[in-house]
Amino acid sequence: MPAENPFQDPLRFQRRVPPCAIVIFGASGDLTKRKLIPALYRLAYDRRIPPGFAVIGNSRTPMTDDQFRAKMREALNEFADNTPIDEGLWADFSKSLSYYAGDLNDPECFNLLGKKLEEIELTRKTEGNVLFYVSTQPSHYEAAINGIGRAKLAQGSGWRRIVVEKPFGHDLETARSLNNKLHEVFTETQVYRIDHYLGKETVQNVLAFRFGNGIFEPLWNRRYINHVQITAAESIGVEGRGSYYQEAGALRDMIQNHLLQVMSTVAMEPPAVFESDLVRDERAKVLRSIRRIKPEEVPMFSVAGQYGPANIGNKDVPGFRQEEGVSKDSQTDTYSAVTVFIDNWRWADVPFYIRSGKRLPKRVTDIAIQFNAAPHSPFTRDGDEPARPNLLILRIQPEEGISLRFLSKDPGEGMHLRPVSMDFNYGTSFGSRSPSAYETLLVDAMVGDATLYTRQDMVEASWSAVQPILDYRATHPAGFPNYPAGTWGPKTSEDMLARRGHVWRTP
Amino acid sequence: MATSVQPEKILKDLGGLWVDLGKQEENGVLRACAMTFIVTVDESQDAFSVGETIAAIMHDHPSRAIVVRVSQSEEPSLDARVLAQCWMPFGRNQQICCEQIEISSSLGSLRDVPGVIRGLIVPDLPVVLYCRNIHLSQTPQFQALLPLAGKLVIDSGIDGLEPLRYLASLPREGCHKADLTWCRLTRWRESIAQVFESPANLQAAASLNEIQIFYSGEVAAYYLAAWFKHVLRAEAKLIRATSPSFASIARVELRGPGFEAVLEMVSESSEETRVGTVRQRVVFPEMRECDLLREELSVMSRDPIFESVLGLANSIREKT
Repeated sequence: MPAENPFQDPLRFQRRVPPCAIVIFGASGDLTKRKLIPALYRLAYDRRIPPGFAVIGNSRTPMTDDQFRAKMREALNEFADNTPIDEGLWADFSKSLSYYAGDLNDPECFNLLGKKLEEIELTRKTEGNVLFYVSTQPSHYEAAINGIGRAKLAQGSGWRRIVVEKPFGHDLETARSLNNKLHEVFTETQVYRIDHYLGKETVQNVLAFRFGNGIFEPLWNRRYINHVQITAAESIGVEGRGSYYQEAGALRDMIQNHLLQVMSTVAMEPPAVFESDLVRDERAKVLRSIRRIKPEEVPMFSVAGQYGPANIGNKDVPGFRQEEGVSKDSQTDTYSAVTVFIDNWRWADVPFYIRSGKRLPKRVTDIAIQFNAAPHSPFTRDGDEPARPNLLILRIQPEEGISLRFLSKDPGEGMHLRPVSMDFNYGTSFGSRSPSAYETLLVDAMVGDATLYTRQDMVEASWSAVQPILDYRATHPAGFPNYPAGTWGPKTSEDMLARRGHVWRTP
Repeated sequence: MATSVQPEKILKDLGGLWVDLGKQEENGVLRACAMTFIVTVDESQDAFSVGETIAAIMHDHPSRAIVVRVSQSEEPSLDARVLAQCWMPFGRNQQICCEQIEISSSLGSLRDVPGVIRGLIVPDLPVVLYCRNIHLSQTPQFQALLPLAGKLVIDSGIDGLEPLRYLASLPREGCHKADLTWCRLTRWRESIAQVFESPANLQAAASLNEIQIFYSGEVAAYYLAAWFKHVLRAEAKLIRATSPSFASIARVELRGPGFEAVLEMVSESSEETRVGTVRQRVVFPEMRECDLLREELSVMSRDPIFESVLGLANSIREKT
């Protein structure tokens, strides 16, 4: 038997998915209808789903297969962006969907799942391959893992993998505990911890930009780079998720996972080849090199904020504490900023400023690399503003692309310089459709490519980096609210950068 | 009618165009260019659709497009004009623009065109030559352009067997060759490849003893048969069909000991794959010229599979 499919044409074909069944725990939840089913349907539309394919949904809500299919069809109408609904395709795709209700704490739920998988392996020809997708509330993760283990479903005639949604733990201790629990049932190579930021085309493009070009990497170090700013701003508030968000906050919800992963992508060493473990090794090294903040240093290296009420565009918006489901004296950070140092040869003493917040002036995620200013400017006279340093902006969303700011001579007499921007617009800016992060990550999990998933050591290293801040905040209540909705966060955040002579740029 | 066109003058006009565009737009415009894309078209063909196609592919493959429109007159006539293809990406406040140069030439002035084009090629970027009319591309004047091109694209779907013969006759060295009919088959080839993603089916691939292709267009059938020969060293039987087809292929049947797979168009845009008891229906969306070019322009390196298939397909054509 040939080892590889001789019909493949990697130059023209998209990666193919092997026959498999996907078991979604938490199938009546938001993620399934907003992201997972639309992503799977899009993959089917793009002819990337194999004939031997099935989805088994599970949650406690009683539903028949047909009711589940009808619900997923409604979800497609609402959430399948830029994907035409083809009735013939849907009729075929929907046959692959099935559902059963069951409590994850009840062993019978998994005995039933085992029987269903056996049946589907025969009827849908899924060849024993199973991807478990845990998209329940975090408090049910352990029950799902235990249930799979007890029913001996983590091994079978084909491959078995498990995708675990964020949050992966609530702090370092709970993350370790969850890892231990996973490893009682699965080996590390079977575990796919999802961080959908890593699935974004533009985050992947950072790697292409850095390691596909020869001209940037020589400048990518402490000798030329002054500091790095990573911003993930949202203009919306908690949008009805107040009770969930109150338990998380910006540091846990964004910085510990997404933004530290983005930072590791910016700061990592080039892997010898683009292979899952080699790429993840390099990311992990960066995360392990993050300087641990001492408890007494926390106020100097981090800022917490919470938005208060404001009037934006002639519309009153509530403060966080006025949101539904939020305690009136909540200490949750809706804004967090941290200064991170990576203690290695490449980045020693280069500050990475990372901020994320809700109810900021606009929705934007970008990475700004500020280079050192020219050592001497022959064009500057007394009284002139100092020359503005070069700035490289890697825009993640919404205007995906790359901009380089440099100085140019103003037309006309005299040597007056002004900053100009050289822009590259990526993907959607040129009109073509980029796959959603979930399409990319689901295909990766089905083909067994873990490059864009986080590994145990990466998760623990990133929790270790923020744990001193979490510990400090737990014992030092802040004077919230400290920024009005619609502004760029508390003043103390500006102060944090000012101590090193830097300012937040306005994205 | 002007009978002389100077590249310097066209480049100056382009410069003026950018200045004007910059003045018209408050936020300026973003110039995008990733290649020189030369299109030759017979004036008698649907010349308007070329403009539409170029506008559509610019979003993915921004380029300096040089459209050469050739009229059948022997009277010397050569003219050129420049224009910009601009669009405003959703949610942005700055237009993205690409350059387009249109050269109108009579047959009598065709010999002057390669000299003009040589001066208009964007330095340091790939050059793709898309010959929409195979007869034009066989003229000595256009043969002179081939060494400048990194890739030559033709469409045998428009002109039938002649382009296949022509493409196969070009030396293996030199520019990469492409045929849009091969792009039309990508969907079919993906579906066939998908059947063999299953290890059980993959085992059967080596012992297939019957491959039948039901077709309505010869070139597509030759290419598909050649692909099977390239992959499996197996001969396919070609059978004319009148049932619904996509890319001129209506059905493919594969059989071996204990194995049968049938891939069939069940409507104009739906293909159904049946392997044993497993059925899957997929959508084969309509492929416009711009969709085909979009795929082909994404492959700028050598395509060893197509190179091999091209030779084999031409051999099948000769034997048939």
